[in-house]
Amino acid sequence: MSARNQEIEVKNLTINGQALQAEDGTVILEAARSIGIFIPHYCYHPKLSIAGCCRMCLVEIQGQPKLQPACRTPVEEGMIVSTDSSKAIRAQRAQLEFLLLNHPIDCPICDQAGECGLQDFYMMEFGQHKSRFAKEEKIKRPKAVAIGPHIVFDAERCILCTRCIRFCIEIAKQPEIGTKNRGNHSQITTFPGQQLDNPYSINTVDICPVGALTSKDFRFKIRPWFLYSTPSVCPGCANGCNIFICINKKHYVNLQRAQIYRLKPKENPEVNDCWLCDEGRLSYKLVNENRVLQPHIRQDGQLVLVSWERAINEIKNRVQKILTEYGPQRIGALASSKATNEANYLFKKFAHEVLETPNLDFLKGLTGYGDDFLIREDKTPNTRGAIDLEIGPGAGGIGAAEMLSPANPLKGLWIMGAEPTESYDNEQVNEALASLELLIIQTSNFTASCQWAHIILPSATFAEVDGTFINYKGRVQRVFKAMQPRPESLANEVILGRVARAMGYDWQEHTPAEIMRQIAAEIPRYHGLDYEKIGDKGIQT
Amino acid sequence: MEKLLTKNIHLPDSHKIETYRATGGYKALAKALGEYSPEDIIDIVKRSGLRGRGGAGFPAGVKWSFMPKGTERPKYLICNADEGEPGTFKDRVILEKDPHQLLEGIIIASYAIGAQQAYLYIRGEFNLAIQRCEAAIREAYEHNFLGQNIMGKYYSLDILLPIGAGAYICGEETSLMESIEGKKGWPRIRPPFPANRGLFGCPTTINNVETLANVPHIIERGVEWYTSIGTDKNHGPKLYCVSGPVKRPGVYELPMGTPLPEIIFDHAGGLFEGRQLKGVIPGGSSTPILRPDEIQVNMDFDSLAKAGTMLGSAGIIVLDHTMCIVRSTLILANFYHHESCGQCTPCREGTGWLENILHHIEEGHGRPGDTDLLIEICDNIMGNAICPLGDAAAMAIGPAVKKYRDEFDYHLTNKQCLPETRK
Repeated sequence: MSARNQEIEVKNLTINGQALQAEDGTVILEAARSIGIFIPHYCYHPKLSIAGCCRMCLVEIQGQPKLQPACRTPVEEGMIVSTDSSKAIRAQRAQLEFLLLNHPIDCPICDQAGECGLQDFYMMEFGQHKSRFAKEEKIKRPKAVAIGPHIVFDAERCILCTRCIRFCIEIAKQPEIGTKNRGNHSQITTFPGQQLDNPYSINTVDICPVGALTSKDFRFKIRPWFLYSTPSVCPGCANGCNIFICINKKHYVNLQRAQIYRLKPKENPEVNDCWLCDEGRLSYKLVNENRVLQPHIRQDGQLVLVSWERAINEIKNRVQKILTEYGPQRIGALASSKATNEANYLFKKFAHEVLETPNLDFLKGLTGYGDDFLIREDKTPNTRGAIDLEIGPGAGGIGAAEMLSPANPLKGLWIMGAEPTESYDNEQVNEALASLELLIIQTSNFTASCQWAHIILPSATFAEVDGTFINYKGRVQRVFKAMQPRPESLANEVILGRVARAMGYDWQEHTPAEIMRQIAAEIPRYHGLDYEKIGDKGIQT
Repeated sequence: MEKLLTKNIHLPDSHKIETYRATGGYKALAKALGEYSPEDIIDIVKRSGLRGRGGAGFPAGVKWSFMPKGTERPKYLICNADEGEPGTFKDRVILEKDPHQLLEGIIIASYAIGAQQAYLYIRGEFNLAIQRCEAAIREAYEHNFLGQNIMGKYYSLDILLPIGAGAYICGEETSLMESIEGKKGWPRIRPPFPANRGLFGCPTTINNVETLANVPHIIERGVEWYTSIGTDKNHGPKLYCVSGPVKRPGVYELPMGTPLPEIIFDHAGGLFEGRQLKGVIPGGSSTPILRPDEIQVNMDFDSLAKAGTMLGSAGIIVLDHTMCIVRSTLILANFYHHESCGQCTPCREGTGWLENILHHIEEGHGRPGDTDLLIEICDNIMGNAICPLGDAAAMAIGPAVKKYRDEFDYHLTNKQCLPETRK
């Protein structure tokens, strides 16, 4: 580390009269940003190679006859830069006017409005406001072209910054798009016979500074200024990409009807830089769709809706019946790698103290496509957490595979937040579950195994709880409650607490933060951890 | 002046190696390989003051000396034969009539910079030139002027002949390299400069055809002889192309710094009978136009820069009083709009806008203030684009509007051309 420090030289320079220091190799644009001076730009993106083609960031450097692009001019000792000289301002205004020349300026019907770079600058200090080019003469180009399964392209709005092209080459490593034609007839296009169809394609929508690339999933659903963002962690796989959960602001107060409209990547250089895969990005749908909204009890073969009191009462009676008739060896408990550490920790305690059973394990969930970038084969967010919490069979207990085989000795099974058929053979699981006397499923969404359940308890999703996930590298990261749980559904740890108290155990109602402190005290690996230390970037263990 | 670059072009079969050798060809190469080290050659060319004939006038020897020494990366020499500047047809003469002169220059230059591979990037429309250069390269291989151990010496060189696909922008050195690499002809931003990271990311020197054709003569006859031709700091022979309503249009080989009126009125025979000079574009379409009262100027890099224009490719375009300046400017604007690569904003959008406005003026739909707008757009493009194409458009159009403002205003008020320029 010290050797590296010696290598990095610091340069002294002045930007708009403010003296500052910047590391050698820093470009002027970033150096200016570090002291709060914003230089307008479109093609520059800190995680992509530098194109220098939008020419918005031209700045004046003393001693140089021409304006220089701030995005690719490195700082030098004694450099005197001005971003607000009349020459620089004039160039910026001129470039913006050029960019808007053939742009339709159809903000009222554009889905990007509200988060559009062109609109921001146009409305702000760099705009001309008065068009000197007749609207009828603007070049007509294809609009609303689906160039991939997730992406819609509007060539008229495109300003040819080439961020999307560079993203596909450099980050997604699947060059599928390029430019065609010349001059002001240039246009972004997919290569012949190809689509913009890589596992990371929706990132191009994020980095598109204008409304040229929009997400099929999100477009026209809601205006971005109605959205409210909460940091969280993507539940799509074990990588633990940092995200923002965007819900409609209006219903944030009116808790009943909040909906997730999209997930956006949140920058974290340790995990996902500022990218997110398409699969993870669309994983929010489980929060909006097919939810279990009330406790269910099976009566005469039919699931009927009941109140929480009735459901908990039923659980108490039937669990106690199994415990007294068959003993704790005949009951099993399955946690999940989809649940938070807090829920899993409490579930372990619940199995040991309330069910008194050694038959404890967790379900690993789906596996699928993985790569060497952000997508892991393990499609659940917290496998590592479940392993670290040592959720597994106790002395004389049996594991998940045995519990879910037809030859299992169980009479009762409690499953929290998981679907067994995702990890085990369908027929075997069905046979095993069908033979049970009592199957309690604590779940947020209806799944295949619910057909065998005797009691279904509605639980909250990752977006509706506070908690922690541990990614495949052992990084502890927080999920924040982005919205209230759906009516009648409860966080897993709350459900467990209620049941335990109903069954006569003296369980306090603990907040997730308190549970985390208990975990930290108990598991050596997490000694000293609490929510504050984990922060919003997570912490490597 | 004794003809050098064009001394063979009137001979029968001037493009064949036998003709070239019969007139003393490839002697310079033998001298270069036999008597000089690469450093010596760079030094000689430096002292000769040979300036790049492609337009910028950068000293060729200095450019060669920028090539990194002792690197293990391959080095390349590129000869830029993508002659596309409107009004320019000087390289074509060499390529078609005397390709061996160029090849000799390429081989000596490659030896000087230590390149094992040279590229002759030739404009796709030059059909005859491509055939002749192909044949010449074959002949040179047969006579061991190319290939392994050239002329028995410890130096080997191969030449490839990539052919352009019809883009003016590929005459710009970095987009030419992109084109050779098989990519779209988009200029690269400098730095890094080609001498450090050029073709395929390796050190590259790129020279114009005429520049390289000068090299054998300098090697053969020495620095002192060479510097005696031309004016101070502008040495050697120069090919001037004269086009427009003159009696004898064509390519003229004259010393650097020949006065412009002498070229037009003596060598090219003056204008057609009854025509009056309206203006001269001195160095290809991209250079600012000169009014008749400004043409008393020597045709070299420095004198023309002092006159507010450029030597460029020395493509002298003469305009007479029957030509509408709006229409000629529109033709140029159309050219730059069509040839803009579309990479950077000012050139992509600005050239189209310029053509649009000029089109309106020419068609009689011009609006008041359009002349000022044209000048403003040119100012906004100038110096703000990635490569010189945007600047070229601005220099072709801005000065024309400024210098012939009366005629533009006449169009705006009267919605038609001046009486003498009407068809």
